[in-house]
Amino acid sequence: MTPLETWEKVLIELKGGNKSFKDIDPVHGLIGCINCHGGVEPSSDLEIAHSTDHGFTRDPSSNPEESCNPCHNQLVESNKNSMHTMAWGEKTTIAQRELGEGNDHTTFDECPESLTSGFDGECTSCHTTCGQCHISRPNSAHGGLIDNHKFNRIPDQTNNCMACHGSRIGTDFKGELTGNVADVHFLKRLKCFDCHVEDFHADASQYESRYHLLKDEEQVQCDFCHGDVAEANEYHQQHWPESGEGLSCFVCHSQPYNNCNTCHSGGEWKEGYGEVAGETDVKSGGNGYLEYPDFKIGINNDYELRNGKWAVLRHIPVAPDSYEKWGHPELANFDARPTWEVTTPHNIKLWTSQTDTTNSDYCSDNCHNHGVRYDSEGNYSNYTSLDTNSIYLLLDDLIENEINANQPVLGQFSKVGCNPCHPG
Amino acid sequence: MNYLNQIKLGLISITLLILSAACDPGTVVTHATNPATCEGCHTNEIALKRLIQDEDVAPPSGGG
Repeated sequence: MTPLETWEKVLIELKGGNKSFKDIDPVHGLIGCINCHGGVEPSSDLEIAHSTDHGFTRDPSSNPEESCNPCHNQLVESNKNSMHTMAWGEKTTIAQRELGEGNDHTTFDECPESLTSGFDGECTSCHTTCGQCHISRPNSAHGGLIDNHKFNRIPDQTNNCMACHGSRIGTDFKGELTGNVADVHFLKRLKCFDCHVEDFHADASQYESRYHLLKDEEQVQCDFCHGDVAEANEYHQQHWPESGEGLSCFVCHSQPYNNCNTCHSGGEWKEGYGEVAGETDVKSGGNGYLEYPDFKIGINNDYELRNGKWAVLRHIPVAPDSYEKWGHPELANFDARPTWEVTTPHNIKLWTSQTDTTNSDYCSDNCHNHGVRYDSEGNYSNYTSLDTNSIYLLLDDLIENEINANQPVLGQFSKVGCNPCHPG
Repeated sequence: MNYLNQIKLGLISITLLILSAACDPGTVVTHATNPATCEGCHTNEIALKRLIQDEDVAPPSGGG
């Protein structure tokens, strides 16, 4: 996302019949600028007008108890512990990689001070204020008013959601990776909130990650809209995801997606951690940060959370020394979580390289070349027509120091043939 | 009767004054054409371009 020009970030454009900010936002326009932002008004001196000695603040909602109360007191109260404010999920991952499996955000404070203070100083800085969702672009996109300082009840998908969730979610959703097309839901003009129905302001202090915000029956699943296709074809009949069985829908209907292979702390994407086994299509982003398109199938290691035995995995930006710049040389229990985590890419398409069987001899050629196949006379042979090894996460895909961490998601493959699943 | 009406009128006036003070949101200056006001400056593209130096920032990372 290209940053706005500095002047552009603070411009309130009066267009059409709008004669003042009150015409743009009649409710908040009544409050008056300095009652939220502080500073001095009137003043013909730029410095005095924006003097912190007179209480000027660029983002009043960084102190929501003062600025957003009393009108929004319930939201302010619960949002203090929301997922976006507290980044509980991030705390869980750090707690587990430092303190070990079985820990979560509730034990994060038991981590060494180097981690907790580093987290408070850096990670929480972009997890986020009221204004960075409802008025301006977030800090991570260098800010800037979105809609002439109008307080938007629903955040702007492009300027808010994708400003933070851009390099993976946004890129995938809009089909910006070479060779991809936009997610079918994007093309159908669905918005983030059509699926993400969780309460973003909810107190989430009891949940270890955003995936736990909703009860099981409330979790948005593909079959809420597509449940009528469970028996629609042989693939669905065979692979429809149940608890611990079948394939996640994404296994068949995702396109390649961005993976990240370096880590960030110390105010920049960390340089020099770019070894990607077997990868040649690695592009360099800002400050040495590396991302690359890939598609890997592995084991779903949390059946309670998601259906399907097999799922799509994404490499996440973490390494044993991710927090070295915080004074924490190495995570003590790095192996507690996979670095290839189950993911739900936002680049859904009906016909993908997995589902498109054009020019294949067998319907299973795209995925099952680890087995053997039988011809019409009952003779079998090894799969050789296509090399589809690359769509599974294999040992060879792993950097040495992450082999142990990823054991739970590495699939076990054997030459079992088709019969176990397709008897007769 | 006139005397009672005057008392009523007085009470209503006092009530309105109290209400108006209680509901006052504070300083509200919305003179979009006055350059000494917040709104006067922040609605003026030319003034903003003149007053504000561009920052030298790296491209955003794009986040997660």
